[in-house]
Amino acid sequence: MTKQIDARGLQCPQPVVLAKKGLLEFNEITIIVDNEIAGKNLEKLAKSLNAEFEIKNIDENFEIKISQDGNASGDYSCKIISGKTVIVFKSEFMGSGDNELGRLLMKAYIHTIGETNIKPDMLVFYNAGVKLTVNNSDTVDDLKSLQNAGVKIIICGTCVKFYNLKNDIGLGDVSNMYDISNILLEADKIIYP
Amino acid sequence: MKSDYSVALFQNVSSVLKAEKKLKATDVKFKIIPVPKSISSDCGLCIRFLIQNNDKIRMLLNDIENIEYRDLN
Repeated sequence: MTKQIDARGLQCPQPVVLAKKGLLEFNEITIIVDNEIAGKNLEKLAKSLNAEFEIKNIDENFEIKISQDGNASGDYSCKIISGKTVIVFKSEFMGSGDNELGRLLMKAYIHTIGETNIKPDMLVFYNAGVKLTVNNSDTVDDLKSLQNAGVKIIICGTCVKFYNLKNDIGLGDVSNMYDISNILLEADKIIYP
Repeated sequence: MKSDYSVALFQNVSSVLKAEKKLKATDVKFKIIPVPKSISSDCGLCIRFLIQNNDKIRMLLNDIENIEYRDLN
């Protein structure tokens, strides 16, 4: 038996909560949402439940079918499916004021990013921020382990040339203004330490 | 499990800066990190190093006042 749920006009996590509730009683639900993000959230839910997922575009809405065999035991939280987080390093200092303090804070901050469970999607370095990425910097090792953990590292090529660091960049992708502009436009959260 | 690291805790950032300068002049490896949550300290930043370098570090930093040393768990 299929349960019909109308989740139009509802914000996350409401559609997902309703879907989950529905799946506790029924093996199959059809849920209508009016935005793509809700659709994506539901897809993640289906994935986490190992359930089948089908999405149909009907006018301005999305009709989603989720069917599963077992119980809705998968875990879900809105956080998991939140968008892209980008940390932008616009200088080698954390905050402004005393540069010596800012330099220390930045080292400690970059180290801390690697220690926490929630990782950013991307790190962008421009202007003097690129100095944090060079081979003999105190931050390069922490950045390398972040890169190995799947965090993308984007470095401003113009800035690398300006500071004459072309041969010293030990990680990441040296990139251009178009990429950086796009990354910032598409980010859901931008952090300037 | 015990970790391989110890930290040096300082009274203020100026002492951390002083210590950093001293250690940079040597080949001892160390890292500036925030003071771990399990430890309390007047200053939020500390210096982490390998336990095996404990004696070396203590000697290098012996003229900086009020340093506390802790092994990390």
